[in-house]
Amino acid sequence: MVEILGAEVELLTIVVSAVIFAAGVLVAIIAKVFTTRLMGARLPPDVSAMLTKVVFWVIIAIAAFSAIGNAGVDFAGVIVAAGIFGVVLGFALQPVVVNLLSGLFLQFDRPAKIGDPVQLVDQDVAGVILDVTLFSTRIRTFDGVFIRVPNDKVFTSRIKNFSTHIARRVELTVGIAYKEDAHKAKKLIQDLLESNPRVLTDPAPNVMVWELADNSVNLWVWPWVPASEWFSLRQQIMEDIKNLLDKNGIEIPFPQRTVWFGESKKGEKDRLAVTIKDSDGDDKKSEHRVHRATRAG
Amino acid sequence: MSLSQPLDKPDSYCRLEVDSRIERRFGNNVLVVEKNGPGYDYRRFTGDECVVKNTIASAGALEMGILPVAPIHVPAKYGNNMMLKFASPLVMQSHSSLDAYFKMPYEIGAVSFDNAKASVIDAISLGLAKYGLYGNPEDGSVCRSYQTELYAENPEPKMHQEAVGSVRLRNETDATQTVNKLVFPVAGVDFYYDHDHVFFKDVEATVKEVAKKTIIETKVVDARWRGSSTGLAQHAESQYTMEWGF
Repeated sequence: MVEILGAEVELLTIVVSAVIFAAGVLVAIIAKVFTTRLMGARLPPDVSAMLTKVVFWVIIAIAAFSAIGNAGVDFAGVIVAAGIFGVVLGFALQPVVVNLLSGLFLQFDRPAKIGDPVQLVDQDVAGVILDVTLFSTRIRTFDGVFIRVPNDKVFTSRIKNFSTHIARRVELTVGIAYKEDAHKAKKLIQDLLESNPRVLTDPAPNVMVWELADNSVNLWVWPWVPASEWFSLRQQIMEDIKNLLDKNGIEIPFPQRTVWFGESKKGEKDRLAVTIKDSDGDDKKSEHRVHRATRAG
Repeated sequence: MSLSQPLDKPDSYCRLEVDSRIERRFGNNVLVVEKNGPGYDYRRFTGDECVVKNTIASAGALEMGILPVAPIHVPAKYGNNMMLKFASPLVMQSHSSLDAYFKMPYEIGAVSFDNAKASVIDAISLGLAKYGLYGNPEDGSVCRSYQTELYAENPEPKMHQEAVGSVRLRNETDATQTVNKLVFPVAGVDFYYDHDHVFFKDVEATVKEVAKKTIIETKVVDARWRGSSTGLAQHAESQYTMEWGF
């Protein structure tokens, strides 16, 4: 005889209970395999995985209670003990419970599914979702690092999902020198976009003279592209625009500053204006033009 | 070689068992399939440069086709539908109908047949392939986009670029409707070819009111064009509902 929770239990009963529990575990494993095969083809991967886990742990729980019941353990005592224990455990395991509930809420909210490229803005994490378990979301970052993010952090974070929509807009700013013909540059870029098969015709690509900025006239270039091509096309379009403007002799200016030196205490009348203009030519390297300006009056 | 079409021209479409080598030239592109030891090589040249090379393993004699295929493979597959934009809007009075011809693009595909099931292993487009979004980014469709006139007579298409199709438009509503575009499925749909001329199946487009919303239902149906069918026997949707405007 062995004493368990104040009750005398025969060794044979314990063995039988252990067999019941082991059988329960076996059934749970079989049910897990069966559920995976049955639901895998019919449901999204994350829902199927979650359903499989729920089935597995429910069977384990039933097996555990059956085994305990068979051993003759008084459930009333267990429940009272579990109640007190639960309160203590509740405080201790608050983060775990929060994560568990967040995991369940994420299943209903479904901001992303397994395989989606996402960015958790508030967590500063970006990558592809590998799995959403009861307690955490596993992400492979774009540079190949595995990150486990607790579900409550995922649930409360702003989530950018890069694959939900089939089309996205590329947004580029292209600066041209003030002396250049903005209309010509705009037309050249528009033609470039129209000749690119990956740029969508609808919505039509938009090229706008948007800003008379400090150092350049800024054009905004907004083509829509298939979402799957967004990253590679953004680079390609930027490179193509650079080459196009170079080929057509349209200058993309560097920042320029005109520096005026104030009048000296000796009352010199001349001021020195210094214009520093950087250019990218190998032979020119950097050009510094210094000229004197005569003070008017 | 057992031929389903005469090989008298280097740019004719064909479907045949490859004994040693087949070669087809379309514009600046040359498509070559040839036996290489136990397998087959497929190569595509643009000018002198080999831009695509595949090795094909086949249990028996390889059946290949150089055929017109749906214009959705170049430069990459983004969707299954075609969006035809009319060069000038079509104004349809209530309960009116119109039969017309249109031109649409197609691609030239290198198709391998395995137990009569076709796989497009490569495709070229001699014209500029452009795509457009029909609907919204959430649940719309990225479609191959093309502008066409509506013709009363069978129009002359650009060789190896354009197919001719026929559409029957019906306005079943009680109001005048202006139709600017049609969206219909093309993935897996067979074309008909007769030497240089390529034809698409017929399209039926019906403007109707559904749940207080005016939509167009399009349906691709068999046509009576002369010539051979590409016979790809691929799964193809035949209907599409245009619920985001027309």
